[in-house]
Amino acid sequence: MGGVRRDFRTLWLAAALVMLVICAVLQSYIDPDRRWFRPDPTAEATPKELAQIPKELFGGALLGFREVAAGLLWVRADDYFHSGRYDDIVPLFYIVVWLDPHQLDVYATGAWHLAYNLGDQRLIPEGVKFLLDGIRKNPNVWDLYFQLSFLHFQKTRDYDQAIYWAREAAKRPGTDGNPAPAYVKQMLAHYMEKNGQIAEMRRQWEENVAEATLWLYWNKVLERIQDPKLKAVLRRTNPVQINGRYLDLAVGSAEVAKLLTQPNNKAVVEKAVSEALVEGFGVALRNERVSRSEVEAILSDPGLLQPILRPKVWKKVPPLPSEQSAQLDWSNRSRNLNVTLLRINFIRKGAGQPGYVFDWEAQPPRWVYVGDGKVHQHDVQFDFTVKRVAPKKLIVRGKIYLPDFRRGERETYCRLRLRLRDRNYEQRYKAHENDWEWQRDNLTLRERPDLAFPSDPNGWGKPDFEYELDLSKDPEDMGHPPEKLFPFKAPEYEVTVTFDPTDQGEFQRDFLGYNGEGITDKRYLVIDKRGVRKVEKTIILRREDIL
Amino acid sequence: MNAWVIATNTFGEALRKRVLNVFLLVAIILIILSNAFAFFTTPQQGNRVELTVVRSMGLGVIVLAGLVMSIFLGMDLIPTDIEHRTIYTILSKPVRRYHYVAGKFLGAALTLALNLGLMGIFFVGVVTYKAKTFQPELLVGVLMIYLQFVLLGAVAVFFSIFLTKNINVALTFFVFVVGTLSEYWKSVANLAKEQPVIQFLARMVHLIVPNFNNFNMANPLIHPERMQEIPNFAGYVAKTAAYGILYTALLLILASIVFERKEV
Repeated sequence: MGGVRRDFRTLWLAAALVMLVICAVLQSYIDPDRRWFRPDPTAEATPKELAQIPKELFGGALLGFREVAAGLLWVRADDYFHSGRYDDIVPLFYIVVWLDPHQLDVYATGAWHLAYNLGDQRLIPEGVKFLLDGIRKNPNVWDLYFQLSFLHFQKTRDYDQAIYWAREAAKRPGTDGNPAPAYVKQMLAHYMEKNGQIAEMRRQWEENVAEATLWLYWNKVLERIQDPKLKAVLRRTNPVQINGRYLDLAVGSAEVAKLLTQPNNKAVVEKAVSEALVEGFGVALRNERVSRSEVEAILSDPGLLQPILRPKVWKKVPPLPSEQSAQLDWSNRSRNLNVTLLRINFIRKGAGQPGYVFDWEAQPPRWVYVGDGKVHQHDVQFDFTVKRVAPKKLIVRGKIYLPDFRRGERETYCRLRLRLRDRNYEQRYKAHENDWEWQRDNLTLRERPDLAFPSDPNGWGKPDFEYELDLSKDPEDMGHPPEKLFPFKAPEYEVTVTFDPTDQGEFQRDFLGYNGEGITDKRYLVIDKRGVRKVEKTIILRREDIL
Repeated sequence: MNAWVIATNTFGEALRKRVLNVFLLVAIILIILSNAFAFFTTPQQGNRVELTVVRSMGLGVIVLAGLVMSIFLGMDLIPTDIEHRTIYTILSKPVRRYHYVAGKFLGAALTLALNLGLMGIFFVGVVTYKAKTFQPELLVGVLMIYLQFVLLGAVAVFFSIFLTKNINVALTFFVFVVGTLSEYWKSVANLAKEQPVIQFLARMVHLIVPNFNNFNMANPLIHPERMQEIPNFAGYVAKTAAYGILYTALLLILASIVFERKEV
C-alpha cells in the first residue's frame, strides 16, 4: 500500500515538474509581449532605472502603482513650484514621466513650467527637449505636437519648427480618437503669417473656412438621409457627431449659409464631403466602428461620394437657411467660425498682401505696392546706446522713427525685442547642451521679447525709447539668486535690440508692410531667413562694462 | 465532490470574516472617492486627466486589496483548522488530503472572486459613468488581477502547510516582490554576460519564481489609446491566464504532496 502511495506521489511530483517546465516555456513566450504593457515600450527594465525612484515611493512603484506614484509626485512638483523650490522641481518632471510617460498633461504642464513659469529663460531648450521626449513616447496623438509648435511660436520664435510641428499635430487624432481640434490649424495659419509665408497663410485660412463649412454641411447632410441603417453607419463615421469642438466651429452662421450658396464654395464643399467620406471610413475602420464589408458596400456606390447629386438617398432637400433662420436656429454657437470668417474677410480685403502698405496720406487713402523697392520705403533711422548706471544695471536708450499709426485718434504701442546674452551664446550652449549644471553656472541670458513703447504720439517728434536693464536682481521676483540667474562668466556680452514688423499689430503692419516691405534703414536693416525686413543692432560689451 | 463541499464551507466561513468585509467596504469607498481626486486637476486639463486619476486609483486600490486579501486568506485556511482541531473531524471522514487542500483553496478563490468582482464592478461602473463609455478591457484587467492574487494565494497556502503564520506572511510577500521584479531579473541576466553564475541564477529566478508582473496591465488600461498599440491583446491574455492557472495548479499539487506527509 505504501508503495502505491509512494508511486502516486512520484507521479504527482513528475507532473509538477512538467508543469514548472511548461510555465517557464510560457514565460519565455510572454516576455517579448511584456514591453507593450510597460509604461515606455521602447525602454528596457534595467536595475539602473530603479535608482531613479524616490525611496518613499519605491515600494509602491515596484508593486504596480507606478501611475499612482506618478500622480502623487506630480502633486509634489506643484507644491515645490508654489514654495519656490525651483531647483528640485526639474528632476521631478523627469521622474514623473519616467513612471508614466503617457500622462500628456504632465509633459505639457512640465514644458510650460520649464519654458515659462520657472522664470529662467535658459530653461526654454529644456522645455523643448521635454516635449520632444513626450512626442517620442506618445507619437500617435496630436497633443504634444501642438504644444511643441506653440512653444516654438512663442518662445524660441523658430517659426519653421512651429509650422512643422503644427502640421504634424493636424495629421493625428486625440486620445479620444477624434481629429485634432480646429484651433490647431488656426494656429498653423498664424505661424505661417509670422514666418512671412503670407500666401500659404491665406491658403490655410481658406482651408480652415472650408473645413468649418464642411462640418456644418455634413451635419445638414446627415439630416437628409432617409435610410436609417445608412444614416447610422454614416453617423458613426461623422466627426461632427463625436467631436463637439468641431460642432462649435461649424454650427451656425449666416455667413456659412452665404458661403454655401456660392457656386465655388459649393464645389469645394462637395469635393470635401467626398474626401471626408473616404477619410472618415479609414478612421472608422481603424477604430473598428464599421466593418469592412459595410464600408465596401457604401464605397462601391459612386453616387454616395457625391452626396448632393444623389437625391434618392436624401429626403426632400429643404432650402438652405436664410440669414435670419440661421441666426435663430444656431444662436450663439458661431463664435469660432465667425472669428475665422472675420479673419479671412480681413485678409481678403487687402491686408496681409505681401509688398503693400496702406498710404493714409494719399487722396483718397490707398494700398501702395512697395515690395519692389521702387516706391519710397520709410527710413526708420534706428539706433540705440547702452550705458552702465550701476553694477549690473544698464540703461538702453534709442530712437526709431515710425509712421503715425495713431492717426490722431488714440495712443498706440509698438514692440521691441531686447536681449542681453553671452557673446557666442549658441556655441557655448551647444558645447554643453546636455549639461544643465554647467549651463546654469556659466550662461547668462536675459530677454524682453515684447518691450512696449508708445509709438510716436506726435508724428515725427518723439522717436525715443528707453529701458532699464537691471541684472542685479531677479527680474521676475521669484526668489532666484541673481548671481545664479546671471552668472556673467563669459568675457564678452551682446546687447541686441530688434524692431520686427511681424511683432506689431495688424493695423501697424498695414503701414510697415506685412513683412516689413515698407521700411528701410541705412545702417541696421536685416533681411532674415523668412524674408522679413527688420531692423536690428547689436552692441558688444565686456564683462567690466557691466559689473 | 468532497472538495466542492469543503470549498462551499470555506466560502461561507470567509464571508463571515469581518476583516475581509471591512477591506471590501474600504476598497469600494476608495474607488468611489477616486472621483474626488479629480479635485487636483484643472478645468483646462479636463476629463482626460480626471479619468487617468480615477483609473489609476481604482486599479491601485483593487491590487492593494487583492494583495492583502489573498495573503490573509491563504495563510489562514489550513492552520486555523489545525488550531481549532476541526481538521480531525474532516480527515476522519472519507476525504483525501488533496481533496481537502483543493477544497480549502477553491473556497478561498471563490471568496477572492466575490470580493475582487464587487470591486471590479464598482470600478468599471465609476469609469463608465465618468467616461460616458464602456471600456471592456477594464474587466479583463480586473480578471488578470484576480488570477494574480489567486496565484499568490496558492503560494500562501503552500507555505502555510509547513510554516508559522508570521513567517508565511513574510515569505509570501517576499515571493511577491521577487516575482513582481521579474523583468529586472531578466535584465540582470542579460547584463551579466561576464558572470555566468549570476546570469544563470537571475535567469532561473526570472523563469521559476511566479512572475506576478505578467498580470500587470495597468498602463494601457489607464491610457486606453495605448490599447491599439498592443499587437495581440487576446493572445497575451490567454498566455498569461494559462500561466497563472498552471502555476496555481502546480503549487496546489506541491502543497498536497507536502500535506500528505504532514502529521496532524
